[in-house]
Amino acid sequence: MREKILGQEKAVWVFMLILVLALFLEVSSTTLPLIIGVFVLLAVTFRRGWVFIAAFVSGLIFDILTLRTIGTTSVFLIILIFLIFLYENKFETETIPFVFISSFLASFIFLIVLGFSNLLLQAFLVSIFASVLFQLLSAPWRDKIRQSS
Amino acid sequence: MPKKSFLPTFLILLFLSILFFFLGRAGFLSIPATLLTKIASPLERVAFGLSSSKTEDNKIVAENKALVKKLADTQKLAAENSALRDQFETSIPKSHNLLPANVVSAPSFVPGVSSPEYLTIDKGSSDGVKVGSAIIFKDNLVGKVTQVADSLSRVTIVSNSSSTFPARTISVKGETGASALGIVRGLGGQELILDNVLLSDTLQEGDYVVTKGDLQVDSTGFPPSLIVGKIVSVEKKASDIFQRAKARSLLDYSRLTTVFVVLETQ
Repeated sequence: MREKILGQEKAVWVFMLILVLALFLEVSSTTLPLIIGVFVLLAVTFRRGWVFIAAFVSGLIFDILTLRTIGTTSVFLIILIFLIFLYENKFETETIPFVFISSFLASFIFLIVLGFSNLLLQAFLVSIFASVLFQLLSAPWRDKIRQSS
Repeated sequence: MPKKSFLPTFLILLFLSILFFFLGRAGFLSIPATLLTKIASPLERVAFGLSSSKTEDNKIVAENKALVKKLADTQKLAAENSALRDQFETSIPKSHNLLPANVVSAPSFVPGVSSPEYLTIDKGSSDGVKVGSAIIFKDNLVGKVTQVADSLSRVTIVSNSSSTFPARTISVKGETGASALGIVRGLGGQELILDNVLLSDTLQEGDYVVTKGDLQVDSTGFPPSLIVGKIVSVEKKASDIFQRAKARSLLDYSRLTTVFVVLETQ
């Protein structure tokens, strides 16, 4: 049991590190909505209330650092996570097709909200990023996380 | 184990986000926002520097660490001096109306390769920057300030798809006084389109597109005769009401490190 909890803690820290890196890159260097991909993964993998809090805080930081109206990104991320949690009751969410499609649609809408160009290509790249991360990180930890809950 | 309901957490945080949205709009969150931007802007500058000078970095890696630092410092100073000298030698707009600003970040699709969507500069409302202030480099228009914080501003680049303003052309092929009027719209990247030009006006490849000028009393807006781009193709059909031309900006926005804010025109 202790090993499983430690495994989950480790997974949380790894995902938090990825989230911070994605946030930093998105604020300073790229227009790719990487945090959307990360939050789709967090919602699919952990399904915990703290994912909402992480989305709320990350959204505020993102809006402040990109000089946008504070709260816009938080609202978007919180609604995205809520929709994923709702879908969980009807569909199997822990699959690559779900991660790919949900991160593609969410990124596409988010890019429209931000007013950026190359919408399809950027959304596609974020979907690939999320799918690869899901395969590399979420899948190996998934069982441990489920069992420890 | 019964399924946990996320509805209360969702509703509370959604309410808080909306509350922050309105508080932010009303300006109540400016102090924590300023603090956070001040902490984060040096890190953003480092990341921007890394993404905008990859080729220089490759050379630098081969050299001695201490020497590299000195060289980088000297180059930075020289570039800043050169930018300042060039800018203050230009006639339009008057040099004393300009505020030099460093580019803190310039997020683009592929960092350092594709053209950025917007710039963040290290000057804000405390330096006199306003929403609508023009941003220039030499005699070229870079963009317009669209968001202002205390010590940072966000600049929408002239070629951004949301950018639109009146412009005219300057012919370089001998037709003096032949100037076409139109509306410039950004197409993303470095591409622009000059639209709504009357068929009777003359548009030629190689002509320059310059701002018509729409300065307001509070010094926001674009001063006249700033270079926007160079016409690369003309689309003219006798059946259309207007003709249009594609233009390309002369600036590589991803390489800009110092720009100038037009504060007041005299």
